[in-house]
Amino acid sequence: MSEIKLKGYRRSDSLFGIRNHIVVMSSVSCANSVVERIAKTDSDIIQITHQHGCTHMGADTEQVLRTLSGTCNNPNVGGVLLVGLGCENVSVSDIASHVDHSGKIVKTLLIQEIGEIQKIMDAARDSIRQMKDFVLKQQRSNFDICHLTVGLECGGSDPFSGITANPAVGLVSDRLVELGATVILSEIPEMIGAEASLKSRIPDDTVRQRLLARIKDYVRFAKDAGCDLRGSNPSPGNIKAGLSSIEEKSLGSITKGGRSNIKEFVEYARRPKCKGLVVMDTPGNDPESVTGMVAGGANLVLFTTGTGTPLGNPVAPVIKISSNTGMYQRMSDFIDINAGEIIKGTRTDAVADEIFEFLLDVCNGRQTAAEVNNCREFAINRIGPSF
Amino acid sequence: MNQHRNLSDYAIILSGKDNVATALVDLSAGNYISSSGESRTTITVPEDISAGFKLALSDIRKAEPIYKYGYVIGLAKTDIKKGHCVHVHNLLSSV
Repeated sequence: MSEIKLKGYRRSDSLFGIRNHIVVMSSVSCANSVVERIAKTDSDIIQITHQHGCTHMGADTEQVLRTLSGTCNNPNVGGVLLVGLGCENVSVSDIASHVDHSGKIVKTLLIQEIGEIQKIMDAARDSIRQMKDFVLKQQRSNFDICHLTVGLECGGSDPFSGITANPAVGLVSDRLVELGATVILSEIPEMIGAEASLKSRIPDDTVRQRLLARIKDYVRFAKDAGCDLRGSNPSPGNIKAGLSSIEEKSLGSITKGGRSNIKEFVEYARRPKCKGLVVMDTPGNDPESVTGMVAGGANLVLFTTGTGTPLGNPVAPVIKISSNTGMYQRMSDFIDINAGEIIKGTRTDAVADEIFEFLLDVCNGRQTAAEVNNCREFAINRIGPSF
Repeated sequence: MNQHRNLSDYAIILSGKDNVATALVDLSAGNYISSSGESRTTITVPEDISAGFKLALSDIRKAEPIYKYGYVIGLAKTDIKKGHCVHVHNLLSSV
């Protein structure tokens, strides 16, 4: 156990939320408008809608179910109302049966079963009242930082990302791992060309082979789509800014994972079994990748950016770290911490300390820029076509 | 301009194994001193290099690996002289 104690909402002995959100979630896109209407009745409610839940098959059905139930299982969620249509692939009862109800309240509502909109709104109002009663009774209690899960993401990289923001986050990652927390490195396509660095840090043969095979899959996806990675990645903008190869871009990207050994390779939206540094199978698409990590249990996400983005998540605070001062000044109310001053001589470990202190404050309730701006992107990674 | 400037004020070397440095600010042509432990070498940069771009810390021969972050980021397409800019014109990805 470490010296660092945080205050969170206890869901179980090893799961603590740093937020206590009430979520209204659609199980299928057909229920989205009703969910939006319910969410408009109360400003304390977090709305989650998406484009999935039906007319997909096999692995997609599993992945959508895992992502939706995983999001409900995220310890930052205290109450959830699942709204379904009634005839979809991914039913509200399927989702609810995959949610651990300990320390949280789960309600369901089926549009076809209730019938008319006013009756649906009345039922929703009842559920929301019960969820509020439950959630408001919960108090923050002390928990050790080893129970924290932190996701890592970068979006809109520039040549300074791999020199300023990512290495600073890498130091934070190493510190979290030393304290016993779980850190998730993601974005498999951003690992193409960095295999030598990654594999030297994966002691387990199976984990190493699975990760390397998955990186190869992405090289093949690009070829199958008729793209030459060498012609398209780094992008023309990356090249204009000084990045010369995909290896250089990927090696800069993975520095945010620090220097710890990689313990596990987990599927998209699945909760890691190991503490320490793990890799999740997510795409480079920022909302999809962050959604996957949060569904896998990430309490919060450290997000580095060179070009700037408003991106947040419905249930997990996203801490935005800029790689250059120019963008930070231009987009200051979207960014939490500027790592760009490392270029002018500020020490990387000083910025890492600033990020770490901010992270502790966010765990204890401080709002991130994305939360203040109500930026709450949610996107599920799809595998195959809709039918 | 025969003034010698410290390379570390203008560029960063990310690993001891690297044979390139990355400019942190726009770096004008001229002489720079690169220090590593006891050793000091003079690097003559023939052309201005923009922030974010790389320069060779030693002569790199055609087909030799180019290291940044301590790992190979590509192979030299041509002979690259110490101090010259290293980018897509003389570096080929090996992916």
